[in-house]
Amino acid sequence: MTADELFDPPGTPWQGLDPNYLKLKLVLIPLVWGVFFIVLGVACHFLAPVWTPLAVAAVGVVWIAWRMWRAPRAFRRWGFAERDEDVYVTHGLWFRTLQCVPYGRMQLVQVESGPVEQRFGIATVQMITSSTAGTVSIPGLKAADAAALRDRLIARGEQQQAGI
Amino acid sequence: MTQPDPPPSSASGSVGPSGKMLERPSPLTGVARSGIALAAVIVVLGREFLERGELLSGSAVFIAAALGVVALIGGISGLITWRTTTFVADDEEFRVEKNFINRSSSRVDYTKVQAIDIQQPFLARLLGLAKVHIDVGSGGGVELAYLTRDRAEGLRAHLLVQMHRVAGNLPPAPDGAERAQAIPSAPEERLVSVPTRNLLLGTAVSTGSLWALTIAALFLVGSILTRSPVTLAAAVLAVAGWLWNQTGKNWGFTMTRSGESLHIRRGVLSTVTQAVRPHRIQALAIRQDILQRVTGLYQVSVTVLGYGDPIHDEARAKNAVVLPFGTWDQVMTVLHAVWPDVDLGRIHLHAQPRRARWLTPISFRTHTWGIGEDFVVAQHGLLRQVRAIVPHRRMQSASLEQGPLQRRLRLAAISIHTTDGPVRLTLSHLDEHEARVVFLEQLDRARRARLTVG
Repeated sequence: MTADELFDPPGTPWQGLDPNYLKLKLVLIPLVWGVFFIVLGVACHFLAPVWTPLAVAAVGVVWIAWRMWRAPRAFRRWGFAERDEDVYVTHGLWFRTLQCVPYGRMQLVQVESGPVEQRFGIATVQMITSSTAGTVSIPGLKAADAAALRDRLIARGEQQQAGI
Repeated sequence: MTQPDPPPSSASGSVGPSGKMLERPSPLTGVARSGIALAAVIVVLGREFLERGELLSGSAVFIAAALGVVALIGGISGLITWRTTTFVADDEEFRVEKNFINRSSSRVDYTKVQAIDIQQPFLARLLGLAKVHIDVGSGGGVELAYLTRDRAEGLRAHLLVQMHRVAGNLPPAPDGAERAQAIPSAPEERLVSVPTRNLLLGTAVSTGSLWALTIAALFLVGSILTRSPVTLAAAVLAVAGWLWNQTGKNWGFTMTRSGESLHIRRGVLSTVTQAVRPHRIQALAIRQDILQRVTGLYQVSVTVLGYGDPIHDEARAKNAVVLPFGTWDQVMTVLHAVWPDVDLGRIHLHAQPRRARWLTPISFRTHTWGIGEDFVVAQHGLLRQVRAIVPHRRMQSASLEQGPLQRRLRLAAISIHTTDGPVRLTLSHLDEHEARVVFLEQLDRARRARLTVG
């Protein structure tokens, strides 16, 4: 069993995220980190020795390149599987997790979509149980899929609601 | 049980339009409310007088005046509360109505009541008053301040009876097998009381007191070097305050069982009485710090549904402790009062694989875990040993985790999630394949246990 299989849901094949989520990440990474490093570089220009902005720029380029290179692999690590009584979610490249949330434990299922996510037509599904540590979200589903998933989760949750 | 008739505070009761007994808080509410601010006025002026030898210096008078205004507002708000608050507690409903600027009417669903606490701040205690807090899980709960002590006790007894009555109509809860014959007004059975000796011993011989002493010693050295007695006074005050905090709150700690709920009583100046229903308890932790191994005393805390995360709420953190300093026998008594079917001795404990020593070089031996028929147990920590226990039926969700170092060593961890509280349960560093098997089996066990909850 390889490390990947170790975090696969049992039996059921898992579903990945919408490819638009990867596109969103590839746009956001250079944008967000670029702004961060530019601000840092400008601050260094005024406050620190002359060579620091260049160093910041070099680190910034390497960092962004690394994040971009890593993004597709991290994207492929995301997966979820809906089973009869519970949903499995796996993610993480360095820190891998496989989490299982029973439908009966879900108190609330939210679909969220920020302005940027909306441009890419995707949404995040968040499953809230009465445990903060047990709250999981699946980012980057097609908006319609996300809504359908939420409805399925809630319907099953109502059927299988367990007392706390 | 019937409505206490007439209620002890009948002087402040009246018959409402619906023919129901309407009750009011005590007229002394105003005095109790303003009391804290009044006491602060005295403290500020007194300290000023002692330090400077004059009573009417600028800033102190200003502060005292401000506090006086606060006291006045407290008094007036207490009067308004008394005049505008009414409550009804009978067999059908418990309703609190407030008719000041905002009209509000809160009706408590007896099935949602999680816990009923009676609090007596110092001044209220002097006046024979008490505050009743009814926890309904989320949304804060309902507070009634202030009632006479007797009425507060009566109200709590009444609410407990109603809770049991309503619960009796529901399908029986898992550990409420004996719920049917649980007679609410059953005599109180004393389970555990912490002798003063153990309280003082437990406080004195602990890593906490070691820290306090170290800090005090540093201050002592500092005050000798700088020759300023003020620092010394500060150190003494800090240590005394810490000691007071540890012992005062848990003074005379007793746990009794009345019918199905557990009652905790503790405190010197302000007595706290608290009722916890065992089937609301989600998880339990037994803690012992390294110095307490000498005295053999343990602390037991629980995660109770509706109490939230006590880490962000100091008052609640104290509430979560169901045994501040107890011997192992007392720990077992409390454990069995909460879950009669748990038997730690029957659970086979597993150690970590040898290669986990790389990640836990010092505390390697202290990490063990075991899964019984109904419970998961995990133990961690050298300086502060924690045994966490979670019943399968209380598990919310679970996760399997692996970091980069663990991957290198072919290890993985399992987290068992319950509702938020002071108890965290992780099985750290299992062999990765074993971890996956245990993880899936545990999910299966939890699924089966959930079915029995209904």
